[in-house]
Amino acid sequence: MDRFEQELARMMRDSQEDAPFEDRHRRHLRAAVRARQRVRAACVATGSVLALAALGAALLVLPNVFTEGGPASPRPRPVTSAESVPTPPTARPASGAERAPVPART
Amino acid sequence: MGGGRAEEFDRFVTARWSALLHLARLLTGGDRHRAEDLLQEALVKLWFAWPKVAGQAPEAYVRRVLARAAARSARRRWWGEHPVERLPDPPGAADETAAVDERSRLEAMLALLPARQRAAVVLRYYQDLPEQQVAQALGCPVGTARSLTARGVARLRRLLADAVEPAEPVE
Repeated sequence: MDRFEQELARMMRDSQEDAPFEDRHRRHLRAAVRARQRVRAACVATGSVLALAALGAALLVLPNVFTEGGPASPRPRPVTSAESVPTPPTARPASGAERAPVPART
Repeated sequence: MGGGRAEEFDRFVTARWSALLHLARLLTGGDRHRAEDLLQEALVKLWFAWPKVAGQAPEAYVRRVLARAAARSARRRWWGEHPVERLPDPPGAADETAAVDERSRLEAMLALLPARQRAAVVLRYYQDLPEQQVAQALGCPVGTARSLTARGVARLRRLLADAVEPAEPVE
């Protein structure tokens, strides 16, 4: 710490005033604590109400789901179709009879 | 508020109010009303944390809450800080109100610092905390705390030099 820093620290310490904790401070502090407690209680109550509402909604919906034997969403479709779809031959036929006629030159 | 907890809490606040208010006042650059509000907010938080911190270091907890709240706010107008062109004159040796003047001058200089620099300087020099604890209180890395303190002190040095020897106007 150089001289300036020491002087700065001294100024900060010496500038402290004697300020007692008065009754008005105590009253304000207690009022602020009570206000914060009320806010916290309100938050907890709101959270509880929301949780109960969510639980009630879930209880109303779930029995219907179970009686229907599962979720109402459509079952997934099979990957391949049940009907046979004719597909064009990919390989050339081996026999020459089935070969298309070649026009003869004249 | 009730029971032994309230009594313990009240004893702590009564004993430490003056020092904590001075800390808050330095952190706010001399705004007494804002300092009281800031300290009250910190003490309300302390009340709810009291079962956890009472046996350890309640003052360190309040200091951390105060420093972080003060450092967060960079809104000078809201804080009631008014930058001035010229700092108050330094006190004369035989002046009866020298102490008051010195406090005003210090607060005026501190008010000119950005909030985080001011908080770092106050924690380092008024609270005499090592850099690591300054960083812990501000919730930043040690390097950042060191930089904030150094820049704050450099600025205060310039301000004080300007106040003692005002620069000559260039013609």
